[in-house]
Amino acid sequence: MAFFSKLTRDRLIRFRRIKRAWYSFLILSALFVLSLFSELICNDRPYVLSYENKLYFPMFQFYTEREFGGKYLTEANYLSLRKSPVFNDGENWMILPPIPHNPLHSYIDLAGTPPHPPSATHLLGTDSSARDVFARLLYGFRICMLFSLILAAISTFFGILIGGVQGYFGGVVDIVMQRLIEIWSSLPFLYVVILVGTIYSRSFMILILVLALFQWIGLSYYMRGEFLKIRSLNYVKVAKTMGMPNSHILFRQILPNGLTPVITLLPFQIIGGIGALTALDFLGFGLQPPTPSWGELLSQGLNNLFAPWLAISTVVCLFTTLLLATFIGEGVREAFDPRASTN
Amino acid sequence: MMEPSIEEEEKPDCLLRVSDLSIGIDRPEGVLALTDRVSFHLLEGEILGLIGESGCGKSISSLAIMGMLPEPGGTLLTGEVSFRDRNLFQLDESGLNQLRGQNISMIFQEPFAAMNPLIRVGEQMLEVFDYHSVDFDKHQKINDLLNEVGLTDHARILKSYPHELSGGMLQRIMIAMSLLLDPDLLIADEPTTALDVTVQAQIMNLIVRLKRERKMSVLLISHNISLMAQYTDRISVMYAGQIVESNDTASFLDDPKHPYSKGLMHAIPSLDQREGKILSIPGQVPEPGKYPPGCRFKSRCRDATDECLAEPPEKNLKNHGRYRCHY
Repeated sequence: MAFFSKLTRDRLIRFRRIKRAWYSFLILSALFVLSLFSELICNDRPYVLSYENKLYFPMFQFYTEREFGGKYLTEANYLSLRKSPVFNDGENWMILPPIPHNPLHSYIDLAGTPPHPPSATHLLGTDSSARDVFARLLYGFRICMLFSLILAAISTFFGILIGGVQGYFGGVVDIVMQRLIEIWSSLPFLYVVILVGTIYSRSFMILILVLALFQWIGLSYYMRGEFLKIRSLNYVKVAKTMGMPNSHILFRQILPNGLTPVITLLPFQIIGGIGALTALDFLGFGLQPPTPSWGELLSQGLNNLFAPWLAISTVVCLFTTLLLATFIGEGVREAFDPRASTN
Repeated sequence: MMEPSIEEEEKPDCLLRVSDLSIGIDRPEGVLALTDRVSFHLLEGEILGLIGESGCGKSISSLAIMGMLPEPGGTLLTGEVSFRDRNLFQLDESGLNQLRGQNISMIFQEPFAAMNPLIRVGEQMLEVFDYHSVDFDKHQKINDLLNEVGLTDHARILKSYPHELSGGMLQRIMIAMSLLLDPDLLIADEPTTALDVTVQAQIMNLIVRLKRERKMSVLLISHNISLMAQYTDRISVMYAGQIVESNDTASFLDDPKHPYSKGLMHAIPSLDQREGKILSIPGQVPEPGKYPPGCRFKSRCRDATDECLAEPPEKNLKNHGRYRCHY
């Protein structure tokens, strides 16, 4: 209920009135939702394929080359199948997604040496392994967004929990935990990533966990302050004098009133997550190749300065995403500004 | 130091007795005593006024009556609080939670800050019953109490958020809320300070009427001596963490004994004396931890002598009043 109180509704209305933030929010969420269906948009497997009067659904099922007159038991290569004389002889047809490329597939048979410049088939060219840049950007966006959303969720949870415990209990608990956090935050983050990555492989979840180990700290400072402040407010005292137990005071009185920094910081946490993943990938300590990743594309762009389509397309994507997220964050912050809500 | 006076043993209907209550707070440099052996008692159905300047320990003592010490780092140094002969400091958390609201409840100075801004008034009142079992109809009770505190249009009030109501209305709602569980003792910590004068009188009259109708006791905390003069049965004066004088209101007003009490009385502007300055007490209350040895008031006292360097004795007056001074 507290989430839909009048105050929250007012804030939502105010957020919608800030046009720049509201449209950024719509665009970024639309892009993210679309990217969740990347397989339907950008894939080298057809939706439907008709071969010798039989229907196949390669996007949802695995078929070997043999079923379409090939020699091997490996998965059929639909792009070459479409061009093969055998396929085009009869009344066979296939419907491919708008961008018929797989982010992991290398187009080694293209003329010239990779990276190939943009062309009609590869709108943004290919990278140094002859993989389609557009496909990799799209899948890279999805990984980036999922990564930072999960990271933000985990670090927000721990930020609230730890900051809340410090602020609510205060005293010795607060001082001891604060010193521990200071020690913890002075750990060199990059070394921890490299070490943990070397020992336990650099998988998606492990990278999130390692980043989350550090990202909660910033929020915990804010939550500690909020809890300290709210704890001494009169309505908390009133609840205590009415004999309400600690759990009620924590979860009903303090927490809902202390969530403002969580929400105002969320867009910036997502920006931080995108930045961190891209930077790690750029340095080569991020996700395992050949995972599509913006950071890896950026470092390719740096290594192949004669192929500017790599760097330019990636930088434009990264810049746009971060800009949209910043506009959202700015709008949220403005909408939640208590000075605006006094009248 | 403060031996229980004869009066307390004579009266069996003593509701609350605070004896030798010293509360300290942990500081890096050691434990700092905020109150020094504070003792007072409250009889069934009376209003006791606790008067003193800000920072003298009034609020700390009153919160301690509910078993709430200052956080973080508050500690009980000496003394006990007994409510109907039960020592509160021996109760555990759930015992205290039972007592809070049901036996003792409290209203605060700032009605605007006393309600959770995110929860509707009606919900906040109902939530009290989530943790206390009662055998009456909750909604009926809320409506009755709103009537009692003089509020109409209940449906709208209960559906409102606190910021949609006025200060006077909120204070009435707070009073209604504090009475939800029919407490025996209401602590009113400067209940009218944040309100304008006409509303002040309404709220005070309301408290007095409710006290009379419900045979409830009230501990009224204030720095406003005219308010005290008008509404209390007895008065205790606190200065720098100590109770320096207690007496029934009439005798206290007639003949204040402690120089600080005299100073307070002189500081009241009177209606028939239009010219001349209001007499104020020079200087400020010393901070906790910087209390001088001996009498704590001596640096501001016009009659102070060398004798005041020694701890002042407790003196009993013939009408059960007491004060703490060499003279």
